[in-house]
Amino acid sequence: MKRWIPLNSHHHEFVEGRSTLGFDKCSLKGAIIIWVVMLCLSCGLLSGCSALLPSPISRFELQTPRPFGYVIGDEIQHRLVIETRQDVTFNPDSLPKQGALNRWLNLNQVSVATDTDSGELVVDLKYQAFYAPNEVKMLSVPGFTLRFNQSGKTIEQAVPEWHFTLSPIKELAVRKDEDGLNYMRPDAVPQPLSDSQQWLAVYASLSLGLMTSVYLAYLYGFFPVWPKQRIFKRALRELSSKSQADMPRGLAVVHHAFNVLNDQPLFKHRLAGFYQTHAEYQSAAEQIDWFFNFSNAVLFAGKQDFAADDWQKLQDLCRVCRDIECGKR
Amino acid sequence: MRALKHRMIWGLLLTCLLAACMQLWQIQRIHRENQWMIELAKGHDIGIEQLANAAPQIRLARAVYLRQKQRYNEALDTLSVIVGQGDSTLQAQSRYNLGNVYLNQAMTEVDAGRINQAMPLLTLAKQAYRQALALDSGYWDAKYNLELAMRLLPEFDRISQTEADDDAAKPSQLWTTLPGFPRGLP
Repeated sequence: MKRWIPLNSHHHEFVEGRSTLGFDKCSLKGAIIIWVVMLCLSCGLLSGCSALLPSPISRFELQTPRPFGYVIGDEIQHRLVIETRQDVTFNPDSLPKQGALNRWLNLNQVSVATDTDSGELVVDLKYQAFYAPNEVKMLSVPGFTLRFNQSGKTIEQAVPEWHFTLSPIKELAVRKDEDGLNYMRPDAVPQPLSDSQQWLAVYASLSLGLMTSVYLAYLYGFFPVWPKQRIFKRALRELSSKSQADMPRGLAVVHHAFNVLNDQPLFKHRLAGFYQTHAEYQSAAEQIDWFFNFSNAVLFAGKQDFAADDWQKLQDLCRVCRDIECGKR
Repeated sequence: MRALKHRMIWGLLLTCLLAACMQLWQIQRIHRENQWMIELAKGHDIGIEQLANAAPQIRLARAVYLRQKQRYNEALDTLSVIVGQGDSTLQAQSRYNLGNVYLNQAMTEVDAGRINQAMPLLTLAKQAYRQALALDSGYWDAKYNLELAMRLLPEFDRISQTEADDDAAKPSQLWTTLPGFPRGLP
């Protein structure tokens, strides 16, 4: 029987086909293979898992315009679109500061916005170049590094510099104007002041004023097409052409006015209904009551001894009703 | 209540008429000021007392007139009053005209050989043009005159072995300027 001598110092004796501990050689080899396979699988799984972990910055995009055809004073807009994991926060201090970046480049505007739909961070940078080249020259907007925080750690993302060409707008040779001086563009002459807004305001005011005037004219009974606004106006005019001696006629005029207003003959016992439909006349109820009592006395009871005061009261009633008709009361 | 409503209708009518009258008065003022601008453009000055309550455009027009008459200091005084007034277009125009006054003065000094006097004026002109372009980056006349001013007074950066790109140096690192005209192609 062939013996297997272990290399280590342990006194495990292996016998071909069976160890002294009760394992045979084949099962030992199998165990080792399984162990190695398990080890490899574990390593693979671990490395696979680490590869599956998402990067803190899942998307970084620098959107730039055309890199040529610029002249002095032109603005150049860059946009950074960044998508990060949720636990990553952007450090806005890592953005370049607004103002002069160098001798010829200004950063006029820096705006940071977060897209609520996608959760993307959008950074807009507006540069302005003040370089006066003698010929087409390549320049570059300097790069910078964005910083993010992730659970106490700082993550950096480089924004590369961006090259573009700038052209002159002025010829290199000296150009003289008719006075022999260097040619320069003339002063800006202000445009004539516009009065369109003022005219618009005038038209609006006059239109509103006209509408108000028309409404007032309607209230004051200037339109024959609305006779109901003219009832007491006409009555007052008729009364003013009569005298105290025409008291029965004056009473008839006022009665007629009330009847027209009521669309049917109005009697004293129907005054409650009249006030329901013409509530504005409620304020003159006392004078109207006096009128109906006085009218009954004159027209039906034969009262003849009416005084000048009665005629005045009748005119006052008509005047009050006219004011109510106009909306003054 | 009806009486109040009635009074309010009358009040509305009076307000409308008053507003219309005020606007007509404004229109008359605008027409008068436009007439002043025409007079200034024709080369006739207007009384300085008329500028007291006038729109900033009138002062701008008068500054143009004063520069044409080479009354540079008066033009500068006039422009300094309105440099922050009006909308962005007017502000850009007033800064551009301010730059033109400085540039004009500087060119006069350069022609007379007084380079030291010309340098600060050119610096001021460039600053004014830059401000105009910051307000309106499409202001072509300001671009042209700024380029002219920068040709007259080129800006050079400190010569340094360590800096790869001299053009990227900060403005504070400027150490010299050389006023002069480029006399054609080499």
